[in-house]
Formats: sequence, structure tokens, C-alpha cells
Amino acid sequence: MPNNILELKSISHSLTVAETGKREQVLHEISFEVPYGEFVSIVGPSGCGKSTLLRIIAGLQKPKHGKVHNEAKKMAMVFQNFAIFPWLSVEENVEFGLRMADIPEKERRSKVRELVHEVGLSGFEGKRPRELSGGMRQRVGIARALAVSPDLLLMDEPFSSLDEFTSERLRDELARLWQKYKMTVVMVTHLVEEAIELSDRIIVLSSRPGSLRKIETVHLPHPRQKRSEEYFTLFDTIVSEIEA
Amino acid sequence: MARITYGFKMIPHRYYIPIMIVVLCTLFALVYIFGPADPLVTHTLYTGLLLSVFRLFTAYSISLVAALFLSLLIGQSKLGDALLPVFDLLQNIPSFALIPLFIFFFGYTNLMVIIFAASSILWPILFYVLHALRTARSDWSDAATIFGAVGVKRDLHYFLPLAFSAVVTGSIVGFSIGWEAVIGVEIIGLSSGIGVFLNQTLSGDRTGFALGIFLLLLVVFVLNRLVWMPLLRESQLYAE
Repeated sequence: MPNNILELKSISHSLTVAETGKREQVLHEISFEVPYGEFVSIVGPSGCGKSTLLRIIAGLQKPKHGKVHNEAKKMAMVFQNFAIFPWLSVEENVEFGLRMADIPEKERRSKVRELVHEVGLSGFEGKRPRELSGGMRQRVGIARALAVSPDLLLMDEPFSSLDEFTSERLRDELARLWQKYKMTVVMVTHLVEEAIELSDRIIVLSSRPGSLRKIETVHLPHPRQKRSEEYFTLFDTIVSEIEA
Repeated sequence: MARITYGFKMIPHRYYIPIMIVVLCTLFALVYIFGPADPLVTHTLYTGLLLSVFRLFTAYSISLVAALFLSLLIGQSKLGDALLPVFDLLQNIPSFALIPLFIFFFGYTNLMVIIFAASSILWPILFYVLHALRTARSDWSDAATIFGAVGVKRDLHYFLPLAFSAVVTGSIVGFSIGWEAVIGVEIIGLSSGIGVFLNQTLSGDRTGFALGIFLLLLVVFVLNRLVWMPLLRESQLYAE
């Protein structure tokens, strides 16, 4: 078995800008590997192609150049704006991936009950998304992703639509769930604090076209002390890389 | 309580259907008992109305299937970009202007009325559904893909629920257009149907005409209360 669940080789990509109709390069020659079980964050300035890169990793978009070797057997994704289906209840949303995989109903139900409880949504099983707060919707999104028991979890700015208090609580929960379920996580974020708090390694991208500027390994022990000197030093290093 | 899928609740309470049926039957019975002295008039009215309702429902069913099929086929594909202007052009042709064409192909037959009405009902459903699919949030589509909704599963568990509100709204508009189409064509050249009855009674039997209008409104009202309103209420739950 290879050591890496994910290998990106010289990924370049361009998109057509709607206003001008011209093609613009958004990613340039990005290569990195992600070993099994690691929590990796991709940070970079706004518009540097982080989310495009994640979509390429997810297979939702084909890169113009380069290759993605994805060894994940099961993959799931958590979205910035939750992307939970408004026509489904909480438990039906969580169940969605299992239903698509034809998992027997009894097994599905038990898994959904467990996860709804795990993300703190017990009592809200029958509610529709519009009856939930932003934080609760993202919990549904996380539970839906965990339900398929992914070995690779992709997260696209999962906390950026939430208020600071909710975001912090969910980050703590994510750290706990990651340690419990032992899956590999690739998270895109524009918040360096968020990346340091959760990640084993941080991939820093330059501004558009996004290219790999640096891969920073985070040696701080979990749970991360956000006011420690090492934390601030690392924060400054990454921010200066982004701004350089 | 009807539970079709995903907790779909079409009927607001359990006595809704029986109450509506009792009201409808009572009114029809009253018309039958105290209506025109000539039982032939009542008979013509009832059979005409039934025939028109049958034509309308058949036309609606054909339109619904065709609209859903076309929407699923081109809804989120590039083919849609090319076909939408064509559909827009076609739907702008006044449908009654095409009646000679329908008569030429199908004659003055039941099939002609049904096909003609279907060709009118199709457009609102198709355009509402296409609009819903083409303007849907892209992350929903990504989520459906990531979580394995492909092929028929994608149609059943993603596209159809996504299109549900649009189907209901398009159907309501389409159904009213369908009534116009069916009754209009019946008046123009058929020998049976509520349109024919109304046309014939208007010049002589004013009571029969009034009864015809009353029963027609009653059917429209009952359909609205029994079908469209519950569906519209349900479709609001599908909104974000």
C-alpha cells in the first residue's frame, strides 16, 4: 500500500473570466503529497485558486495540466455554504450518501442516529435545513460527510460562513472527530489561525495564479495553545509567506 | 397522511379528501335532481364535462412526462444553451394558430384535442423546470456528485426534488392554459365536451349554460383545493 492517499503532480489550471471572456490561469504547477491520516490545510490569499484546487482533488473539475493520484476508497466533502439539500430533513440529509451507496435501511438508520448524536443534533432529526441555524446546518454537512466513513475528507472553507463563536466550537468538534475517525483531511481556508489550530501540515499558495510557496509542518501538540509563542511565530511565518 | 418519499405530506389532514369528495358529490347530485327538466341536457352536461376532464388530464400527463424528460436531458448540459432559444421561439407561436396543422394531422378527433392541449401545457412546465435546474446552486450539484448520486439515482434523488417546486408552479399555469386549449378546440369543431355543451346552450338553454359554468367552476375549485394547493404548500417546504 502506498504511503500517500493523495499525490498532485504539476497541477495547472485556467478558467474563463465571465466579464472578459478571456482565459486566466488560476493554478500553476502545484505538486504535493498527502500521507494517510494527515490533516492538511491549504491557505492562500483570496482568489488564488484554493477552492478550484480542492474541486480538482475531488474530481469535480479536470485540471488543464498535471495529474491527481487519489487512492481514497471513499471520499466526502464539506462545503462552505453547507450544500445540504433543503428538501430533505436533517436525518435524510445525513443519510444521503448511504442511500446512494445502497446501504440497507437498518444499517443506514443506525449510522444516522449515531452521527446525529455525535454532532449534537439529537432532537432535530426531522427538521428541515431552513429551520436550523448556520452552525447546525454545517453540523449536518459534517455528519453527512462522516456518514459515508470517508478515508479522505475534503473541506472547502467549512467555517467561513459562521460566526466566530460557532466557528470555534465547530473547529474543536472537528479536531475531536478527526482524532476519533482517523481519516485524512484536506481543508481549504483563508484563515491562518484555523489552519494552525487543526493541521499537521499547511500548504501555502501564492496569489493568482496560485503556485506552491511553502509547505509548513506544524509541530505544536494537540490541543493547540492559541496564545503560545510558537503559535504566533508560526502564524507570522505563514502570513509573511502569503504576503511575500 | 400520504407518505410518498422523504416525508412528503400532500394532504393537510386525514379527512380532507373525504370531505371534498362528499361536497363534490352532493353538489353534482343536487344539479342532477333539481337541474334541467330534460334529463338529456344533464346527461350531455355530465358526459361532456367528464370527457373534457379526461382530455385535460391525459394532455397534462403527456406534457408533464415530456417536460420532465426534456428537462432532465438538457437541464444542466450545454445542449440546453443551444435548445433554450429554440424552445422560446416555439412557445411564442400562438397555439390556436396551429390548430389547422393539428386538424390536418389528426382530424377532428379526441387525439387531436389531447395533443393540441399537451402542446400548450408543455411550455410553462418545461420553462419553470429548466429555470430551476439551470439556476440551482452549484454546490448542491457538487454534493450530489460527491455523495454518489449518478444516473437514475441522480434523477430521482437530486433532479426531481430540485425541480419539484417548479413542476408544481408550472403545472398550475399549464393546467389553466390546458382548460383554455381543451374548451377552445371543443368549441371550434368537436361534437362532444364541455366546450360544445356551453357553446350549444349559450344561444338557447340559459339554465343549462349556467349549470355548465357552475359545474366547470366546481371542478376547477375542487382540483385547486385537492391537488394544487396542497402541492404548493408542500413545495414551499422545498425552498431554502
